[in-house]
Amino acid sequence: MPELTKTRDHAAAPDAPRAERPRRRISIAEGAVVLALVLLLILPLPADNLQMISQLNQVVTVLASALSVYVMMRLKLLHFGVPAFMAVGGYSAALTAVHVTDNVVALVGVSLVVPALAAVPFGLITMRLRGTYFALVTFLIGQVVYLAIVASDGLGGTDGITGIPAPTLGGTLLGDGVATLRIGLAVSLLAVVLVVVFTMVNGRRLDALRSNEVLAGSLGLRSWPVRLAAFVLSGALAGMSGFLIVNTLTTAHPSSFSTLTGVNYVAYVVVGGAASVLGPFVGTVLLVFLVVQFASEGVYAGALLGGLLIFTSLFLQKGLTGTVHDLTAWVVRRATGRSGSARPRDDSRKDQT
Amino acid sequence: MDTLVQALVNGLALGAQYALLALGFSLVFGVLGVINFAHGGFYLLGGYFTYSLMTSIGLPYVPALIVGVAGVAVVGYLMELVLIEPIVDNHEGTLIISLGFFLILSAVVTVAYGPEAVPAEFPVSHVLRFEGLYIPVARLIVIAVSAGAVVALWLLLFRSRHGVALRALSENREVATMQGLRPRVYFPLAVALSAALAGLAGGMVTPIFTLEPPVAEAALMTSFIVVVLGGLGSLAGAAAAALGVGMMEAIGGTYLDGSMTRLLLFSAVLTLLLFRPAGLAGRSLRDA
Repeated sequence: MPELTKTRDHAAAPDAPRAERPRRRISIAEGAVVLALVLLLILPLPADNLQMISQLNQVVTVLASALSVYVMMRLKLLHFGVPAFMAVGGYSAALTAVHVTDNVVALVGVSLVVPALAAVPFGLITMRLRGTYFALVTFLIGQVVYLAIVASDGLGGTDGITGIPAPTLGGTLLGDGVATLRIGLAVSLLAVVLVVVFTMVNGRRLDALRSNEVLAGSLGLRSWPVRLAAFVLSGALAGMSGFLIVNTLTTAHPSSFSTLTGVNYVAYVVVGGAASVLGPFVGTVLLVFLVVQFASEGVYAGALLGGLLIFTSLFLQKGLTGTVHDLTAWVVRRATGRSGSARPRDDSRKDQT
Repeated sequence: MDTLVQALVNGLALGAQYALLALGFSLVFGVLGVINFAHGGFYLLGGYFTYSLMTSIGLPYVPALIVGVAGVAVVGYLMELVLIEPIVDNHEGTLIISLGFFLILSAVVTVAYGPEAVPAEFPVSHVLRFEGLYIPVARLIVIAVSAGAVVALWLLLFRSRHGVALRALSENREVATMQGLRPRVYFPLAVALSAALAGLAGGMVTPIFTLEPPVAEAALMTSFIVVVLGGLGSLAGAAAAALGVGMMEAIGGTYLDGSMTRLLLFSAVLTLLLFRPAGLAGRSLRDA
């Protein structure tokens, strides 16, 4: 078996393992998303352009929720329970703001940690569920949390929690539209960084489990730690998004977290693509813009989302970013005259809807 | 005691309508491997088609229900043929498509009839009074028709050539296809049958309670909880779970708030998943 011997020797050589190590560097797409959020955060914003501020705020408010779906989709799991963890984060932040402190750092921390902890038992329940069955059960998780909120007098029942004070930072009140947007941008940046770090550290594990869990298991990769970690991170991201919704509306209301709203966040990722964080980012920006422009009434927004979901699933199975990536690779191949396929990307396969 | 008996009758009626919903849902999963989110939309369409036929062209209730159910079946057939069939083996993709279709159906109904409830009425409003019990005849009719539909479905699946074909495709599609069965023929029929069952439930039940767009989501959730409890792909499990859920809701609703009853029910089912991830009688999750 000379080949095997050679491989072992190669791996053992002190100067050789460079090629064997997992590639842990940020991709151009991920860097672009981080850069865009950083620029929006540090550049002056047109405070008098209320429409622009409002639309940007709508995007950043739900971006973390889209990322929450994206993290699970890296494992080929459709997560419809995002509103549940948004509610946990949103209500935790609301209770903290009303009863403990209105410091924005504390509120973000609470909205990150509490949903992450809440995700652990649900993660254990869903640990052994696969494929579409996982999607079904996460829908039920959303419904359980929604019903629990409605039935709870301590959370205001169907009236929710109102009169939430605006957050502060070092004695400065952050109550106006621009300040709300900046909080949203900062939280979204934190969410993107968390996701990028998680996928960089666990990228190969995620790819292996998504491609063939049985084979990955036979090679020694235990799926449950990765799945549980992804589910907990997903919960934390959703929680931060829930805080942003509560902060924008200055009220924590059950209707903000109804089970069917989870469809929106899945749609952002399906339409944008699930190859990198650029997919959810593009999907969120595009769909929020389209809904605001063409379907301001809820009923038309539903039809628009439905139509886009069908179109994307039938004709753009890798989402917009995946399709553009493939087209670009095809054009480059044609231009350079190479006959081989484009550089393979583990995270842009057909199996990612 | 009277209260309990009353709750049992109500539970039987609820369980019967849940069985219609869940059997269709489970049938599509069993045959196609598709989680059909449009199922709630078919329930909604059943109600609105029946209502429209009665109010627009003046059909009596029973013919309107029959034509309405047939119309829902046609919608289901076309959905499978046009949207699901091209990517039928992509389970996540078909789930997303059915979800999109559900959103469109809900939007179309809301645009056509408005977001408020329409004044649909069941033609029978008598109440039987028997030793302190008050039993609406409409609920007895729902129980009887549902039971008849379940028996008819059983006969179709287990006593007819087409039923054998559907079950063969459900058990092993490759082998069934090699034996000459054509999925392209039977898959749309399975979805049409499933849609008809949901439409029948919608056409019968919504005039008794309420007919408005949000009932689609409630029907979908009920389908989910029943099939998760009974086990995906298991028709017997779905039927048993439907009766169990209906009974629990009715009995719980007698002594507790309705939301609290559903919360306890949903929580109990989720907890069950810790110990039996495939539900009470489900197939291997790897196939899901």
